[in-house]
Amino acid sequence: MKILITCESNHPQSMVDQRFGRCQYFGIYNQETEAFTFIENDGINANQGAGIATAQKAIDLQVNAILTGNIGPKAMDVLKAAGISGYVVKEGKVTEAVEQFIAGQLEVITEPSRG
Amino acid sequence: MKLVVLSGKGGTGKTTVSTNLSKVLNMAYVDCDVEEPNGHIFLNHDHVEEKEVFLLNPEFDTTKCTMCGQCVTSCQFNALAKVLDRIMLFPSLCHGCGACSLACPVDAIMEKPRTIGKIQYQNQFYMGILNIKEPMGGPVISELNKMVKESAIFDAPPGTSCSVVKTLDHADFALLVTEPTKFGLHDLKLAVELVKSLSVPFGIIENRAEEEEFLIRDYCEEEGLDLIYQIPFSKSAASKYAGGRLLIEDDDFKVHFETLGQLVMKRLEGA
Repeated sequence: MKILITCESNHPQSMVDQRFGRCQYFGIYNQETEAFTFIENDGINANQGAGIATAQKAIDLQVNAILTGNIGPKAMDVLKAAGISGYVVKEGKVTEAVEQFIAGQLEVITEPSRG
Repeated sequence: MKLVVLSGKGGTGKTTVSTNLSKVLNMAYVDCDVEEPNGHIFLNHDHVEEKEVFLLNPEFDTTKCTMCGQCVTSCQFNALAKVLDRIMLFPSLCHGCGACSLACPVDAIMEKPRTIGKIQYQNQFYMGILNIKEPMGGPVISELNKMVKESAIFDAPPGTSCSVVKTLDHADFALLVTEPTKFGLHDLKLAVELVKSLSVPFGIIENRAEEEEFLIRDYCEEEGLDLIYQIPFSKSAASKYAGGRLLIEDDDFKVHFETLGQLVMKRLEGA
């Protein structure tokens, strides 16, 4: 299972970025190898549709779950159509969020955030 | 002759200047503030013609589409996403540029018009209206630019964003309307930067000017800018405006706008 975590910086001790489309980095956690990889979000300065672009990235990276703060309505439509669920992380480190997710302690994001 | 009235800051008097000036100069009035056009309140018109404004959006032929995703990659506006078995389009983000249909290797994309707004017009009056929930006024303004062939005053939207840049397309002269407040000055500077970068000749009009307030005068002097006219602050002007009346109904303001009109014409001749 591959998990995408929106991150403020590019290491496992980073804080989870509350923004989905305009997060600083994507952290990818591979549950089989227990390894993290980090990718810079080049869509951070997109004029529009940053959420859609990030959702597309999640699809292309073939992740199974997303850990983040908020997901907007358009990104939510893309993720729903692709069958990828987002999980809420209120605040905290990337490693903690992953542990909580594996322990089943994170809630699914059912409603997009607005504005 | 295309004269554009812009301001940077909202509520400085673009529409007041545009509507009254269009009357004294006998030029057409074009409302480019398509998200919130209000020139029609002052320039009564009884019957108007209407024209719809379209944007071309892609439609996908699923029998031809191979899900290669090249359309998604080609879209600079993130309006497309490739999910499992289909391409999703977010119409409100699509600029209608047609890059996706050019990128498609199997010719699976048809471009279909989608209505995003309309233009109402009659003798010497044009008004662009963007439909509610549409985020992009540019195409409506482009249509106005195409339609208006006569000498006209274009009333720009507030700010200095894409819609204002579009309104300034092929402008012969720009009038920057401001007010003697710090916000007015701050946004005037942005507007000056914009018209300079587009190489449009321009002059400044200070609205609601007060004798003891030198904010705008000082700035224009320091920068060597052409402060064409100062329209004085007046309670009766404010109440005329609030009642949806033209200021030139008042004798004093008629003189103000006629003088302003002559000064502007001099610049237009030089432009």
